[in-house]
Amino acid sequence: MPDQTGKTESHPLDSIFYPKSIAVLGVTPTPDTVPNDIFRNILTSGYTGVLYPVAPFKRSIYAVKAYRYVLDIPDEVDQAVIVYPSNVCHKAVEQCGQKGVKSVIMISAGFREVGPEGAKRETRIKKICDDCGMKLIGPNCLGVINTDPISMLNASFARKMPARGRIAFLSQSGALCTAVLDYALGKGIGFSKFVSFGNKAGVTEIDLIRYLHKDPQTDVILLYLEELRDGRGLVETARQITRGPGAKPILLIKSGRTVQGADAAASHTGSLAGEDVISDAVLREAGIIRVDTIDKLFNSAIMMTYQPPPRGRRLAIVTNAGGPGVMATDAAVNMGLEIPRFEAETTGRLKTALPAAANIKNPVDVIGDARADRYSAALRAVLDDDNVDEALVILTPQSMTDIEAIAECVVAGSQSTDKPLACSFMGGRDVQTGIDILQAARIPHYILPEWACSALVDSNAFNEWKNSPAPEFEPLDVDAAAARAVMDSADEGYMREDQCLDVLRAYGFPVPRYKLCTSADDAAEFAAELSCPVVLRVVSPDILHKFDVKGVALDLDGPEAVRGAWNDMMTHIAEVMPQARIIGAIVRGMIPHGREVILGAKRDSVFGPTVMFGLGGLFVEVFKDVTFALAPVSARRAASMVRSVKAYELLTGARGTKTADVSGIEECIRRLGQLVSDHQRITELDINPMLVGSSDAGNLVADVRIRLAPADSD
Amino acid sequence: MATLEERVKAVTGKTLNIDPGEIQTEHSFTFDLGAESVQSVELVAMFEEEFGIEMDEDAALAVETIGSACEFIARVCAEQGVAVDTD
Amino acid sequence: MKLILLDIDAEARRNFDPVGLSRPLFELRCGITNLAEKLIARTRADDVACFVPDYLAGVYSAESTWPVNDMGALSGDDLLLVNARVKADSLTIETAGPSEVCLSEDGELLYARVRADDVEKIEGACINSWIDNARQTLPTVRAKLPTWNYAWDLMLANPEGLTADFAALGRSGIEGSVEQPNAIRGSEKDVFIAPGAVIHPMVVLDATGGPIYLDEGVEVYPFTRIEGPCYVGAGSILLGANCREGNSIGPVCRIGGELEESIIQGYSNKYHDGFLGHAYVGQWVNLGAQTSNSDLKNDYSAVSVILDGKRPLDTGSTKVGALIGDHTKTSIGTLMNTGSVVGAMALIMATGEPLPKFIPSFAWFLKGVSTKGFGKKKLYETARMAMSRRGKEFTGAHEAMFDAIFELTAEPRVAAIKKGRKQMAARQHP
Repeated sequence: MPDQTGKTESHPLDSIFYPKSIAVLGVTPTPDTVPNDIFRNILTSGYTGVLYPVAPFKRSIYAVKAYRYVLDIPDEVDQAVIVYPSNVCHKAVEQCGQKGVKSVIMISAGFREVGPEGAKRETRIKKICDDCGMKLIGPNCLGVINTDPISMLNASFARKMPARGRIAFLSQSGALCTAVLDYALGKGIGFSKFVSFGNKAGVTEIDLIRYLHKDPQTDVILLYLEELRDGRGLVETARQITRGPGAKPILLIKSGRTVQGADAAASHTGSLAGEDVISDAVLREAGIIRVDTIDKLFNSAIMMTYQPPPRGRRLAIVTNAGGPGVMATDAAVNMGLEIPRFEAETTGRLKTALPAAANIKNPVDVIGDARADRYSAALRAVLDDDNVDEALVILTPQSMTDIEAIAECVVAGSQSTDKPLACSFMGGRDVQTGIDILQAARIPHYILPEWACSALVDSNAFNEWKNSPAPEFEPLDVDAAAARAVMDSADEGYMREDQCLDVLRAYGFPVPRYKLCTSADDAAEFAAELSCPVVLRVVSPDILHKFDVKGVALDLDGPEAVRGAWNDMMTHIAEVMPQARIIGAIVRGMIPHGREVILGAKRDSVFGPTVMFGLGGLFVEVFKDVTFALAPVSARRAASMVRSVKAYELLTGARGTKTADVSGIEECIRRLGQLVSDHQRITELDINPMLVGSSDAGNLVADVRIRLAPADSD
Repeated sequence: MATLEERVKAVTGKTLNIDPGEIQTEHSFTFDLGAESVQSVELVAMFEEEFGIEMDEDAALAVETIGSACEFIARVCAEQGVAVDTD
Repeated sequence: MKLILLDIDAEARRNFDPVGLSRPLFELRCGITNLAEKLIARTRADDVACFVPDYLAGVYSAESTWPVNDMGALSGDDLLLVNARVKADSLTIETAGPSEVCLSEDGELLYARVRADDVEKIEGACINSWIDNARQTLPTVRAKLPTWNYAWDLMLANPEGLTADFAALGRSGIEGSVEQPNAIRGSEKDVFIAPGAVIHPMVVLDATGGPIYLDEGVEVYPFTRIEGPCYVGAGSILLGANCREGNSIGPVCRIGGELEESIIQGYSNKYHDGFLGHAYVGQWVNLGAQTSNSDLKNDYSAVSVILDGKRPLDTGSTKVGALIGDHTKTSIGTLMNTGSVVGAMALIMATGEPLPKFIPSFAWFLKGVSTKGFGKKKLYETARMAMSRRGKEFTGAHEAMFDAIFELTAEPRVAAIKKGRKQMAARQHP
């Protein structure tokens, strides 16, 4: 950070945002070319430092003395902005390294985004920067903007410096940046810092949000990502930023793609865990607010920047038209806000101030002929009410509506409260002067009341998250060594069922008593030991779908039945799959029919180990009613996972079912999270199903599949 | 007749408005001599004009330095039967 | 009766450069419909097949449902083979008459009517030899049927074509949405707004001079004035345009600024201000802001056009603007001379001076001269990008077609590039 009163220690990325001197390498004298534009933008946007054009054989660019090489510049150069063609950028970067430049913003395109040749160029650049300790933004980016008057840096394509504000915007897409700048300009929204980071070969969005966390100029961080490489890193960083002292909200637009390394999975978990579904769940766990549109991004951002945080979700609505008031009420309730009853005192005040025809319950309808006096009185009354946490003022222009005066009284109202306020003046051109007044006073305005509600919900969600305790991961007591031993003896691919059961048993899952039997007699003997009807399940590395080859025999009562079933099974398999290697068959007790749940885990290429839960059968197959979390899973998260599936009530006695052992399920989720976190070789794991018993009887794993990566991946 | 290299430097100097005396063989057109995008096209055309040859634009634009330009042009001249003094 | 459209005269079709380079001639438009549609309507054919130059067949057969260059199509029915350049209006023959081959006074094939039983008797490995055989075996007649000869013929006949086609199509009235306030001058009977078309407020449709046909999904932004006769193709957007009389705009175009008596094939953009008059513009053309052309000479004399880069052709008309081939892009402020020809896949960087009257296909016009620029591959990349933005693909077949066009148009381009080099060299500092 620059040396200014109240500033803290300097940060490695300061040379990106607060360079004292900048050299632009590859400037050309021709206007309306990229190199020339970038130079001119820095020059004309009020940059407070010193600017050096590097342009061989040119005396000057825009009357600023030009140098042949960055090495020829006699002074120290903090930052280099490079716009040379991609094939010579490495020369430029080498010289920057020699010069002792601290940060490089590489605007040039023609790197990883164009293919393998470009990727090689990029790797080369990155290595030089790493070796010389230079921070690299880009390549293939639009540049960096810092509206802090200490810097006034516009090292970008944007022709005009955006207005100053407290919102930071980070984008992977250059094209989006120009659209966003235009959008913000139209709405009078300002930025603190604005970065297009392109191919993120050096500095990533994770580095940047860490920086912005500490930036005193920034209150809200907006992020646009197309590709997530280090999802876990983002989650862990975001968790630190969005909680604790100095917490700041992060709002993210992430378009659908992620980096996919793994093959398509054969398991349930794999096919359900489409990138986006996991991303959604995981990002929420990180405290990141994910939105789908630029509109929504800024709608929420301005609420969180301009207005104080709400203490709760209780919304008071003041409107001069019944219809919009009702619509706003519906929207608020649907989105998760409350519409509280007012205290007696408030009702009294409203009764006095408003005409008899007015509605003095929430939403307050001051009716169509209301002027500023009624709005003022109503607003003050509801803001004073202890049952109210935030307020929304709706206005529709009628012939006597004094729009500007009403806007002024909203402004006055906001100045005398610490509760957040939003407005919806519905009427386009007619109400523009009122909107201008609100905008100037930093009162968020939305064309539709629903948008205001949505923004307030996000603001509340952040506030609740910010104040919630960080998750605690208390490991459960497990035998990791035993599980490892089993896995060490297994090859890459799907483990045998008995091996899977062994692993689960080592991790404390409710696994029925079982034995891998190698003969009919062995099986009969063990069945007799169990003294209950048993199940026979063939074990063979070559049989993936046991049922297809009649490799599962159910409900075998007594040793003779077992022996007979064994012989029938093995005979049949020998006929239909003669080449299958038979290790034996698992014998275990029949598990009574009941409610099924599915527990799954997947090592996601972006987020690392993730865990999935859902009710089995139709709920998973048809309704896809599942939920995801990052592993390891805290007790609190496991509980919320179970409660968050839509079919949850079937576990608590809905439709005449018995209450299930829900805490047992939660514990299994935690154990699963621990298992995949502890063992890197596990790529996929499906427990499908686990039969859910009552709280007394407990749960039982009925089937499990575990897939392992090659042995050296641990 | 001037050597191929002298001629390449002369044409480069004229096109980029640089004294040929300052141009060295290892210089990159963009990085050391400051050629802009459109000037690269102009350079290709001026080399073609100077030597009476036709160059494939993709290959020609991929040439980075004076030295490799000399090599490239020498090759094309040989292919197209144009005599040059390569020193 | 099966109609066989013939676009097989390699020499004559060059007179339709540059817009005829990348499409069969019968795809060219005059009025609302293209030449094929006119011939089909005129002959009331049950079935259609076509023969086009080989290099066009790959792309065209993927786009069309008709058999293309398929000798097997010459069977199974009475056939009427028609030279695509024959003006449909004047094809007043009996489609069910006796077999005969009709030649122009110069011996050019105008049409051949071949009854089914005669069809079986004619042999030929390719279309040209089949026609030769037909000429030898069937009775020949001579006729003076008028033909389309140059691209500007279509442009000059456009206003008439618009009026005639509007009447022939027989649709009128407002089936789309027209937002108020709006004004229609003239009779609403002379206006057709197709379903899905949206006319924003503050638009004037002036049908007093001719009918106006706005096709499906057309969008017209405020402060556009459309003067009939006019056709706007499906999915096109007029952005505050001054659309003067006699324009035929194909599908998925974006048009702003001023446009007069011009034909735009389709998928082309002229977003911003600038005048385009008496022009025929191909597909995937992008005219930068303030691109303007002149369509009238200072002395009001007949305009001459240089199609092959060498000889000026007298168009016989005082108003011929520009002919622009597919995928050409002009930078802002491009100025085109009266009777300009700009080839296909050309890239123009304006200099402030009017362009030369002929710019060859695949030229990069930089620093005031035609150059090799950054090569053909880069042009294809841009073409691919432009097409993908409208959900279309620049396929291998497209690339092969344009490679063939590259060869066809080599001579004038090489000459222009050589000349350009000399000019460039002369301009340099001594």
